[in-house]
Amino acid sequence: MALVPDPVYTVTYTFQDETGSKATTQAYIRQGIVIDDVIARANALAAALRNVSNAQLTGYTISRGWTEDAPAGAGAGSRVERKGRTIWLADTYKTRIDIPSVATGQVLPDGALNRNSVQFLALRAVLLTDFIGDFTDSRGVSLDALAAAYESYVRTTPRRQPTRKLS
Amino acid sequence: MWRLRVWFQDASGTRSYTGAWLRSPNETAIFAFVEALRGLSNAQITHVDISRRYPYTSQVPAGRDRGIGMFVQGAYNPDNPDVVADAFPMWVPESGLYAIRDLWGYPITARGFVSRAGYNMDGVLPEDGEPQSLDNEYPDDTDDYYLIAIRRNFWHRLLRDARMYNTLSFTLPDQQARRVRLDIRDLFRGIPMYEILQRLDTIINLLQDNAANTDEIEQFLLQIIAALGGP
Repeated sequence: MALVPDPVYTVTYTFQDETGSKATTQAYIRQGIVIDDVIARANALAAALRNVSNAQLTGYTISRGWTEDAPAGAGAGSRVERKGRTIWLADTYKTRIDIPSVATGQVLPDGALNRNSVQFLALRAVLLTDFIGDFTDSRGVSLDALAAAYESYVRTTPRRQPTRKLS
Repeated sequence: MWRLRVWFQDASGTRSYTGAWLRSPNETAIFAFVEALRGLSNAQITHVDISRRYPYTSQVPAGRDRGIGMFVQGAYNPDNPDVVADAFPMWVPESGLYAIRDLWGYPITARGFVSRAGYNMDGVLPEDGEPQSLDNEYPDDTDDYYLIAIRRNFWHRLLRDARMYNTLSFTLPDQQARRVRLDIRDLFRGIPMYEILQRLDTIINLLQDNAANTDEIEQFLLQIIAALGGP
């Protein structure tokens, strides 16, 4: 059971013509190259593509993937609709990371997640202390604290959330 | 920022993902995050991906009739360099045959781009091979790569027809539906123009040499009709 990397970075270029229609095309760059070089190559091809097309090249997306080679199998009764919702602070802003099908052992009777379990402490360490500066909110501000952690369903409204969100 | 997504599947087969934002695609941090999630969820993790969009400042779009330039490049496994292991197709909107020629050599191959399966496209030189266009030439399957220029209007008509036929195939009895699906396949596969042109060349040669008889010409013409999809 391991995450196997795809052999390539995928670069998806987006075009827009004068009628507003959009189109994409893709190119691939081998794995094992430092990310700055990947970006440089993608940018070089963007310049070449811009020159051969009279549409507008609006941007490109670099993506990379890993696939589980031997998934262990989902646990009995698991449901991805049941989330473990964690809210993190980045400066004073909040960002959310959900845990699909949170294990029932992680949920306390009042609906809060057990923040002192070994598994939760491991997640907290990864996000806040082990890789300082790597995990951010969408603005790029580093995560610095946990604000809430509770069980939630897809259709849970704010009024239906557990009253106690931090144990 | 880089967007990280971790995909889950539960016992019912339903999929969902959770995401996080990263300043850089640090593989160690990504794997640690995935392992932490693995400990907290009883669904299975199926795959992980990360992406980032870069805006690009480009020219104002102009014109809409240059069609689509398409580039198909053979890719090779270094362990078996004589065999084409994969193909890299790339199409460029609002481009033409001679413009897309500029993508050969430096931008694609010398910069280390590979096919989707990760095979090399090394050893291709600018001007190597023969550019092809449905307008005036026909594909030569001995070339390492070829180019196709499809007029924009034709491309749109092709898609519209395919969609129309595909909808129709759902409403017909099995036998007619199969015929329609075969038509769609033929529509996308296209007419084997090089076979038709080769036979026309043969007919012309026979006529020029005065070596033709009616039966031979009739046979070649019937083959052309069959290749064009006739009865």
